[in-house]
Amino acid sequence: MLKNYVTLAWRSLAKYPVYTGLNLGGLALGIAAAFVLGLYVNQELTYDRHFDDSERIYRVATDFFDMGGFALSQEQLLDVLPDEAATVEQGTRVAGQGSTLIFVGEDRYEESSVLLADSVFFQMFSFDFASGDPASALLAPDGAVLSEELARRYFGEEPAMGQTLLVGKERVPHRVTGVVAASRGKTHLDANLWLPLERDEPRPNWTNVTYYNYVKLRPGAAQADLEKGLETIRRRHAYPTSGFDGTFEEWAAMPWAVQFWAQPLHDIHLHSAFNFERPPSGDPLQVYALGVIGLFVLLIAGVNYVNLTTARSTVRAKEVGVKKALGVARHSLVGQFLTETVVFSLLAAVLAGILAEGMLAAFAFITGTPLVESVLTGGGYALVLIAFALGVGVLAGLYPAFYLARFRPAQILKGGETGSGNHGLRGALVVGQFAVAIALVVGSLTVYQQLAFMQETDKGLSPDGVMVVENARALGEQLGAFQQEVDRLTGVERTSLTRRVPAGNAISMGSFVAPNLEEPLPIQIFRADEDYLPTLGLRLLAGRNFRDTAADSSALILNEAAVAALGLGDDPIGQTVNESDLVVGVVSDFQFQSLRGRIEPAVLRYGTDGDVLAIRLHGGGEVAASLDQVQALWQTFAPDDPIRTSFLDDNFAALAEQERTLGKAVAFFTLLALVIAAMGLFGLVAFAVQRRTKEIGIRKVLGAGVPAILTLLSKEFLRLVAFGFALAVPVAWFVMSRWLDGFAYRIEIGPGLFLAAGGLALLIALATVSAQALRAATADPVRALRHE
Amino acid sequence: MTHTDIADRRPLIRTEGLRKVYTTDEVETTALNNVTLDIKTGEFIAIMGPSGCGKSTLLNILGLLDQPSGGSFVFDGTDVSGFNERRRADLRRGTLGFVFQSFNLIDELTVYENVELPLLYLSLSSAERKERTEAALDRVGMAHRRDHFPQQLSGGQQQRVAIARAVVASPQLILADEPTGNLDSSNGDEVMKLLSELNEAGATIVMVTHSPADAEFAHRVINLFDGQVVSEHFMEKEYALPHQSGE
Repeated sequence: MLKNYVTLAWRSLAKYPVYTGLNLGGLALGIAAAFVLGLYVNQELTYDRHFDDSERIYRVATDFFDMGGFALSQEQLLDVLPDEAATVEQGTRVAGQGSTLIFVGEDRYEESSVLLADSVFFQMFSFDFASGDPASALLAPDGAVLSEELARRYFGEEPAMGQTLLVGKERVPHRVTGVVAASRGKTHLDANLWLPLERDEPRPNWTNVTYYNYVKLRPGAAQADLEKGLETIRRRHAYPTSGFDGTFEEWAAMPWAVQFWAQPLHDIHLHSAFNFERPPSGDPLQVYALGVIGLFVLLIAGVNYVNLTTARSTVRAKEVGVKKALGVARHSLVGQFLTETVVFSLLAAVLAGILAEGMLAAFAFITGTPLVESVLTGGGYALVLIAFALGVGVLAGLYPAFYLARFRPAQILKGGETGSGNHGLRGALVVGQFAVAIALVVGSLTVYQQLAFMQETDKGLSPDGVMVVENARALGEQLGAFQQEVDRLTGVERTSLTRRVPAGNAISMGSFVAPNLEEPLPIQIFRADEDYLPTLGLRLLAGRNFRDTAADSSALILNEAAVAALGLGDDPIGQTVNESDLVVGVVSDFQFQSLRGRIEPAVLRYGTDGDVLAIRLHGGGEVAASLDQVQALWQTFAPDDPIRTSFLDDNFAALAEQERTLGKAVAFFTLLALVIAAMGLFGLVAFAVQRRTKEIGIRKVLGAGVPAILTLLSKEFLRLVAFGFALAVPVAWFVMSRWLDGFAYRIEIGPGLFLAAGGLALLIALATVSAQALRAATADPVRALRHE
Repeated sequence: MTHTDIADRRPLIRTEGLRKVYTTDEVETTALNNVTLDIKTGEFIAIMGPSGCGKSTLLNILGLLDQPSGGSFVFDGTDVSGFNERRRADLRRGTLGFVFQSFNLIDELTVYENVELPLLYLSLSSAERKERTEAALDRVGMAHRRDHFPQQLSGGQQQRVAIARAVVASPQLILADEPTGNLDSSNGDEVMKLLSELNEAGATIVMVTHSPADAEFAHRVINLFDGQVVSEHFMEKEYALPHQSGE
């Protein structure tokens, strides 16, 4: 019996290869996309959860001077925290380290993923060690823990344990004391190399951040216990060193006072956005958006399956009729069709596995960021995929199975009109499919327009052609000489030594008092020399630039937002703030932090002690050549310290990185959704044409021309797409408007965007329908009629 | 054999006041109106009448594919008029064989597999299935085409396969709905001879037909008009059943 089921299923699939291809391909594509997105969502939601007792681990974040909060916190925090919070079982200090030179034998490497951690680190975070002892790996100051990937790169197939590597330009020898297994759960504390942390000089005050401080609480302890301990630290340690005149309560109420937050480890990846987060931070919006898109794609694919299977019912009707006449009960037929669905789903699962792999590769290639790691590497994934495909297939197969099994044999067997299906339902499903697809297109287009807007909108400075030497500090005493040499390079227009460039990593904040202010106001500070304005292209609106004189040591240049925030009125030039600082100029507002929020107040303070070198290259000049010149020059100054450079426009682009990744991911899967929807439509049209062959023949015999037939066949489907459009517009408008509300400077969703999305869907539908309609319309009517 | 013989036989079908009414949104159509029939085992009945007279409806009800709206229908001693679809399906299995005008062979199955199909639902051993399928194919002279697919056969051959499928499970009743309607006269003749042979071998056959020539093969012709039996007559011809000599 089962053999008969399978034979029948197989032959009827093989007999209609186009139908089978469409149905199988569409289902597999949908399953693959949903599976990949499911993996991504799962990955993002389970970050850091694989560590033992991870629910007891917290990170302490801090803030002071109202600087927006830091993921890092104070150097001395863990010295006092266990005494003030008895619930703390252990604590560990971690620090990130920029690009590090590593020498192994004769080879020189540059490793960018390096963490410094104390000896408790691997006790608290249960990384899976391929070799070595986690408890003692970072105990000795010359220890080193490598990832398996790095161990292979450095030492090939030789065992890495006990090998020596030299770290930094000073070539400090380290012994490999541990190797972390390659397959490890996702964590924001991942690295390729972990080195023992040597503690900085202790600092007396609480307004510096140095380490990521993690604590593990005793079993049964609550977050509130830790928070109470942190409050005690504010009272007993931070407040006494603040130099504040008032009581603790008055101090604590100040926005600029030291604050602490206990962050559950589980929340860090997705829900923490402090300064100096360990990249890459997750974006909850992207996780939810892609999760929803995954469901939608699956829905579209499931609808295809239902539609194509029921549309094909004409083909199966006779079989149902014959079997019923033979006395086969309905439940037995349902069983048969579900068996078919299971076989079909298994085929789809195999295909989906391959497609998922291709999809991940295509996604990584197109967007430059891998979504998740390869699907086929984990054996467990394959089982999940099969279970998933079966679940989807059976769910999607239920309706067609009951629908087919419901056929009444008497009519069918007479050889007359067969149950050509539930048109209403099929139509509604197509409307739904296209509504979802069009809404997704609107979403993608909105994200892209907003992105373009953010990139093109005036930033208040001209970042193009500005290069930044991030680690100029490494030159020490020679920095001045280096700057002079750079100034002489042919490709260089001018340079500025500063502490901070817009869209950079540094943060500096100061507190300002002004006559019209009741309380001191924390404002972002940019330490700048007299070349800063022209080098970055900041536009002076009033007053003057800094001058290279000692008198300017108390001169300030404000942006418009700072003028307003300080209440300096229409004529700020010549006014005094902070009692002795003189406002000498006003520049137009410029962006320097997030592209989402409003431009914040900024104060430029004169100073020549910068450690970051900003270089404006000649416009239209050859950037690559100029970069080479600067690099070559650096080589002569610091041959062992690789230069770290960036371009200001890239840095600004990086500020919109989350939006860009979101846009690409949404667009990618939107395209997929469209393709799947089109495949389903193609199949439906094929069946409609088949069903109406006789009608078309009769109409042609009666004198209908090709255009009339084309219209006849296309109208029905284009109407469905139009309905879908009408349904999609309000929903898409609402959702995307809410998304745009998160931006201080945003586009408005105009009708053009909807027309573009609708037009695209219509075009795809038209192309899908008309090719087949044309073939039907131009076919020989005599053949169609004789066929009956 | 004459009608007096037949009167002595065991009744297979007995209907009384059988009614079938189709209701759509606007109209109520009476397809069968007060049909009373008495069919004995071993009979060969032809039902005739113009299009729309209710022939097919009657056949569908007799074949347990459809339910009457009223009246009684006793099949082999059991009143089946109130049976639900599930019980009717159970009864159909192995009891009834169908032959259709449009053959209704399953295109994706071979000749052999089509004929074997009814046996798959009768929990027989595969050896027995094989034996009976081959016997049925032999009987209709299609054994040499067992591995062909229906589209590779002529209409007459397809109908012979359909007949093999109808008899393979040795049903008590064979229902044939215009079995020659899609065939030319020589193929039609062959099919009718085949049915006749089956009847002579003991099968009860109820056939709907337009063709007076086909009706000639039956023992009894029932004429329907507007859903009612308007006449009923025994064919004058004498028939000889193998196990019983005629007069």
